[in-house]
Amino acid sequence: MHLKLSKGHDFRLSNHPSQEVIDVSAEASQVILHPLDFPYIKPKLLLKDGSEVNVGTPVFIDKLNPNIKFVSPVSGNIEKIEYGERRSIQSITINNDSNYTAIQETSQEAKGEEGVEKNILPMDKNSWINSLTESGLWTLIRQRPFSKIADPDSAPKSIFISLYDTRPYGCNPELVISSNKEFFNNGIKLLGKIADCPIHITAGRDFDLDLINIGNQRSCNIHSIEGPHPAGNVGVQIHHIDPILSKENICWYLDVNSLIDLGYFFDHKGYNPYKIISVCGEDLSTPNFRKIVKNQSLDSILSSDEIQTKNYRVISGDMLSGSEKDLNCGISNYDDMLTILFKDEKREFLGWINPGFSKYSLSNTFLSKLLSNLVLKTNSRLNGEKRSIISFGRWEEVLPMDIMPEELVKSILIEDLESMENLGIYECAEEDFALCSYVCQSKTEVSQIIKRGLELSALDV
Amino acid sequence: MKFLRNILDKVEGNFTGDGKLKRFYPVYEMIDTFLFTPSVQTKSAPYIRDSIDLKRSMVFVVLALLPAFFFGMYNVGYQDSVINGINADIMGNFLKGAKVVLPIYIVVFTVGGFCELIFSIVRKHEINEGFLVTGFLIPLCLPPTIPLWMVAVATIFGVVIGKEIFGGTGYNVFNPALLARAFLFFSYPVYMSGDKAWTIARNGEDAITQATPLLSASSNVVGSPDYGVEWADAFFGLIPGSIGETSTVAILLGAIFLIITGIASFRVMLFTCIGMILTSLFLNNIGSSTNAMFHIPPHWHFVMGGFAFGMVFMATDPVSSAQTNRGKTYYGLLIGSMCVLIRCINPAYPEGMMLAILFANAFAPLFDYYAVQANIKRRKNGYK
Repeated sequence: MHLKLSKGHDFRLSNHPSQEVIDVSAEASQVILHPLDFPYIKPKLLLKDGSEVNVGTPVFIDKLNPNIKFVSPVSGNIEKIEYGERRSIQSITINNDSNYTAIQETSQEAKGEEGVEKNILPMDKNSWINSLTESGLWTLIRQRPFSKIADPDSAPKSIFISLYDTRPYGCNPELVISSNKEFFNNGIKLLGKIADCPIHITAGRDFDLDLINIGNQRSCNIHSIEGPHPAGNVGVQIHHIDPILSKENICWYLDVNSLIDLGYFFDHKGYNPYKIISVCGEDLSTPNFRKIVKNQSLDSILSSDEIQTKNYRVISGDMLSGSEKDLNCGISNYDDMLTILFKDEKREFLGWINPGFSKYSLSNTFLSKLLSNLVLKTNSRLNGEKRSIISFGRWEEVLPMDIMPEELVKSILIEDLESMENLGIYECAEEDFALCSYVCQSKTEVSQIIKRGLELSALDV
Repeated sequence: MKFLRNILDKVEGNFTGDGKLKRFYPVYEMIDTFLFTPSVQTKSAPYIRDSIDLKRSMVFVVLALLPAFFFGMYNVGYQDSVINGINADIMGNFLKGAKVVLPIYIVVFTVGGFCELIFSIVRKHEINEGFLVTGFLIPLCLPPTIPLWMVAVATIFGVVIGKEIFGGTGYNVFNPALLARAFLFFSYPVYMSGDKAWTIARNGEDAITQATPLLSASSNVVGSPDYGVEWADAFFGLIPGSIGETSTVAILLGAIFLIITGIASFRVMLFTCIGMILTSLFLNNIGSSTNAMFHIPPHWHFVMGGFAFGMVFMATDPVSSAQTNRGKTYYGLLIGSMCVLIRCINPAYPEGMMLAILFANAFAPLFDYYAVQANIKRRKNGYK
C-alpha cells in the first residue's frame, strides 16, 4: 500500500554528516550500561563489582520477566556500579579488554546440550525465542503500546520495520543496509521464524527495493510511504496500516540496526558488539558516521576539539526524541545517532517584536517564512516560557494521526484513564508528539505528558 | 541596551531567593522578560523548540488591533466635529479622539494590571500575556462617552470574574473583554446603548443624541429600514458607535493579518459570516410588516454595530472558542445566526453580537464534546 501523509515538518538543516565511516571502536576502553534507558523494566543485577564478563554475558535481568537478559557487549570486568535514588541502578561501567571474547567459547561446557542444539537447523519457534532471550538480543524487539521490550510470550498481530527515516539528521537506512545486506535480510528471516504474523516493511518511494530480499516469505508486506517527519516514525505507520485499538493489540517493531544484529546472530550465533551511528550537529567540525562499540562512553566517541563551542549539550538520539547525556555516560541502546546542540543563552532585546529574519519557526509570525532557505540553528533554547495551554490549533497541524492531541493531553493531566484509552493513548509514543511540543507557543511538554499518560495506563491493570 | 540589562541584573537579587521583594518576583519577571527574551533551556525531549512564544502570539493580536485602534481615535474626534459643525483636519480629529480614548486605556491597564499583579503574587505565578489582549479589547468595545469609573469597574469584573476565578488565562469559559462589556451593558444600559452614548459632543449638561445605524434601523416600524448613513460610510467606519467597532475596513485589515499569521482561526470567522448571511437571508425571505429589521440584508449586518469586530477579535479568542475543527464550524454558525436573531427579533437589544458570542462561548464545550465523541467512535470502529 502507498501511504501519503502531509502533516508534519522536515527541518532544513546544515552540516549534514559526511558518508564516510570512522572507526572509533578502538577508543572504547569502557562501555557503560544504563538500565534506566529501558522503560518499564525492573533491573536485577546478576554480577558484582569486579566480575569478569564476556561478550554476551548477562549483566542484569528484568525482575518482571526474568527471561529477558541484558548482556555485556564487550569482554573485560565490571569497573563499578552506580546507584541513584532508592537504590535504582544508574550505570554499570565495564572495562573493555578489547579481546571481544565471546561467551560461547568460554562457557561451552556450562551451556552443555543447549549449545550443541543451537547449531542444528531447523529450529522451531520456541527454541529460536529461547536462544534470542538467552543471548540478550530479545531486547532489540520492542512493542507498541508502551514502546517497551516485547514480551516473548505474547503474540503480536503484526511486526513493523520502518526503512523511512525522517528524523532531523536521520540516517539513510539504504546506506546502513547496503553494507550489511546479508545480515539485514537474515534478520527478517529470523523474525519470520519467531512470529506468525504479517511483517510490514515501510520504505520511501525511491528506496532501492533490491536491498530487501525476503524470498518466499509470504507474510512480508512492503509499503511505500511519503511525507514529512514524523511519517518515518513507526507509531505513525502502525496507526495508518494496522492500528492498535486496545491494550491487547500488540505490534512489535525493530529498527534497521537491530535487524542487522539479529541477522548477525542468525549467521554467527553470536552477539554483534559493534554498531554504526551518526554524529551530527551544526557546531561540529566533523559530522560523520562512526563505528562504535555498543554502549561506548560518549567521551570516547567525541573528541573535545571537534565541537566548536564550549557551551553545548550532547543528546543521545535525535534532537526531537533523544535524551540528554553527560559525556561520562554510554550511548543509549536503541540510539543510532549523537546530536550536539548549542546552549544559546544570549538574551535578546525586545525579542517578541523582532521581525525575525533569522528565526526558524513553523508559525507565520516571523519574516523568515519568506526565506525558503533558512536552516535550523541547532540550539536548545526554549524560546519562551511555559504558559497554560492555549489552543491555536498548531499541535494538530504536525500530527499525522487521527488523534486529538489536546483532548488527550488534558485527559492525561487530570489522570482520567478511561478518556485516555478512548482517545487512543495506546497508539501513542512520545516521539510521535515531539513536533507538537516543538510548535507549542505555550511550551507545553506534550511528549513528556504523553509519556506520563503511557506510564499511568501501563500501571492500570 | 547593555545598561538596562545591567540594572535588571543588579536588582534581580532582591526578587529571588530570600530577597526583600521576593513576593514581587512576578513584576520583576514580567519586566525582565518583556525587555529581554528569557534564556531558559529545554529540559526534556524535544530539545529544540520553535521560536514563537505566547508573548509574540498575543502581541500579534494587539498589532492586528492597531488599525481599528487608530481609526477609532480618529472617528471619535470626527463624529464630534460633524455634530458641532467644526471643520477640523485629520490630525485635529485624531488628537481630539485620542484625548478621550487614551484615558480609557490608562484606566484599563492600570486597574487590570493591578488585578493581574495581585493574583500572580497570591498564586505565585508569572503575569500572563493574556491581559495584554483583553486590556486592548475592552476600550475598543465601549462607547466613547463611558465614564472612567465604569471602565475601572468593568475591567475588574472582566479580569476577576471573567478570568481569574477560573484560574487565569487559558482556563476561562467566557471572553473576559466581552464579559466586561456585558457587565456594563446590563448594569448601566443608558451609558452603553440608546442614542446618547455615542458622541462626546455635549449641549450644556445634556448629551447630544445621535443614533447608530442599527438603532435607526430598529426604530423604523414599517417599510424598509432607514440606516441614516450610506453603506460605504458604515463600511469605512465614519459612523457613530463603540470606539473600535465602526470601521469594517480597519477590522478586516486586522483579520487578514491574523489569518496570515495563523493566530486567529479563519474557520471561526468564515462560519460566523456564513451563519449571519444564511440567517439574515432567511429573515429577509420571511419578511415582516411590523419589524423593519427583518429586511436588513447581509451586507448591512456585516458593517453595522459590532459584528465585524466581534467576529474577528472576540469570537476567535482561542481560549473561549471551540477547540476542535468541527466544533469551530458550529460555534461560528451559532454566533452568526444568533447575532442576527437577537438584532432582528428581540426589540430590546438592537446589538446582538456580544450576547451571541457569550452564548456561543457557553456552547463551545458541547460542540467539542460531539467532535471528540465522533473521534472516539471512529477509533472504536477501527478507523473504518
